[in-house]
Parts: sequence; C-alpha cells; structure tokens
Amino acid sequence: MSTLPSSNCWANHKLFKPKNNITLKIIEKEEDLYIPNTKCKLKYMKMRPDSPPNKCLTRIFSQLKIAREVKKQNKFQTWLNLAKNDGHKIKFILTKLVEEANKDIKKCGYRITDENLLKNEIATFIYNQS
Amino acid sequence: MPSVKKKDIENNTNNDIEFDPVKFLKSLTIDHFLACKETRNILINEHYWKFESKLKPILMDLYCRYNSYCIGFTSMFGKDPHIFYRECFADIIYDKYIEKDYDLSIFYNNPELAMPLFELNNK
Repeated sequence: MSTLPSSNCWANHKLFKPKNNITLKIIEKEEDLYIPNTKCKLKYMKMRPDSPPNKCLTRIFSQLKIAREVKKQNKFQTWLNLAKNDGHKIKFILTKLVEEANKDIKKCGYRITDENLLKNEIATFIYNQS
Repeated sequence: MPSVKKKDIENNTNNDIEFDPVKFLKSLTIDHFLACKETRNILINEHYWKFESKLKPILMDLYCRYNSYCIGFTSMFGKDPHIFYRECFADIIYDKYIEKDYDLSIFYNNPELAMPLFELNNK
C-alpha cells in the first residue's frame, strides 16, 4: 500500500532553512558623459559580443586613423621646412647633424646598423624636443 | 710494477699541465660567451664602457653644439634649453644603431673572468 507524502515537513524529514542571509550591493550611479564643449550627452553604441563588426564603422575608423597619420606627417614636414634667422632650414641643420654624427661614429671604429633609420631616429628625437 | 694510485696521480698531473685556459677560450665562439650570463654581462659592460669613454663624449658635445647654435630659435631644441637630454641622445644612438662587436680579448688577457664558462664546460 502506497502512502502519500505528508504535508508536514517534519514527517518528511525535511528541514526548512529560513533565508536570513542579507546581501548588500553597492551600485555606483554612472555619471553621464558629455561631448566636450556641448550639452549633448555621449552614448555608447551597444554591441553584442557575437555580432560581426560593423563594416561601415570599421572603414570610418581606419580612414580616421589614416587622416590622423597624414596630419601628423604634414605637421612634421612643416616643422622640417621652418627656417632660422640666418636662413638655414631645420632640414638642413638636421642633415648636417646626422652627417657629423655618422662621421664621428665611424671615426671611433664603430659600425652603424642602419643609417636611414638612424637619421629618422635623430630627427624624431629632436622633433620631440622642439 | 707501479701502483694504480700512483698512476692516477701521474695522469692527473699530466691533465693539469695540458689544460691551457687561453687555448680553450680561443676555441669558443662569441655565442658561447653570450650564452653564459656572467660572461655576457662582462662583455656588455666592457663594450658600453669603451663607448662611454670614447664616443659618448663626442656625441654629447655634438648635441650641445647644435643646441647652442639654435638658442633663440624655439622651433628646434625649444624644450631642452639646458641641454639635459645630451646623454639620452648618445644612448639612443648606442642602443639601437651601433653594431655590438664584442671584444673577447678581455677574457684571453684575464682568463679568471671566464670562470663560470669553465664551470659550464666542466673544465
């Protein structure tokens, strides 16, 4: 003869545990970001992790990167063509500096691994100091 | 008949006489010296020390001359009016663009510096 389970928890050997655990969660309210110099709020685009990157956006960002590089190069070229009071351009001064450095290095018995790269490195170094 | 012990001693003395550290060091290539941490550090320090005493002052002087030439022209060396970066200029050239031809003669003249290398090769 089968017996139905009793509705009494003690009879079924079950012990009900009261949920006394209190969990505290501190959630910081995200501050709204604004586009600089405007009153427009900045909103991030929602992207699903499995979704493929938007082709249009990828193209825009790569074009922006190229534009930034071109701008940087133009700025560098403008700097190279600046002239001192005596009429000597920075390009000329740099060339002379690199030539002298190469001559001194070779005179002391050392060998240069890559002269062109050395020229670029010296130019970049001095550009950063200017 | 000589005893075995005596023979061993004789052999050992012969081995000691035969081992020439300089000859052994000359048989090794630069890669052997660079593979050992201690000898590599000695070579690197020696190379840099020679650069520091020979070429570095010349490069620093070159930087100083050009910096002084551009005084008043802020578009060049404008951020370094006190010539603080002269050492940096020389070190950049040394680190990236000077070929490191290490001179092994320091070990031939002072074989005791190559002790870790002897230990590595069980000599």
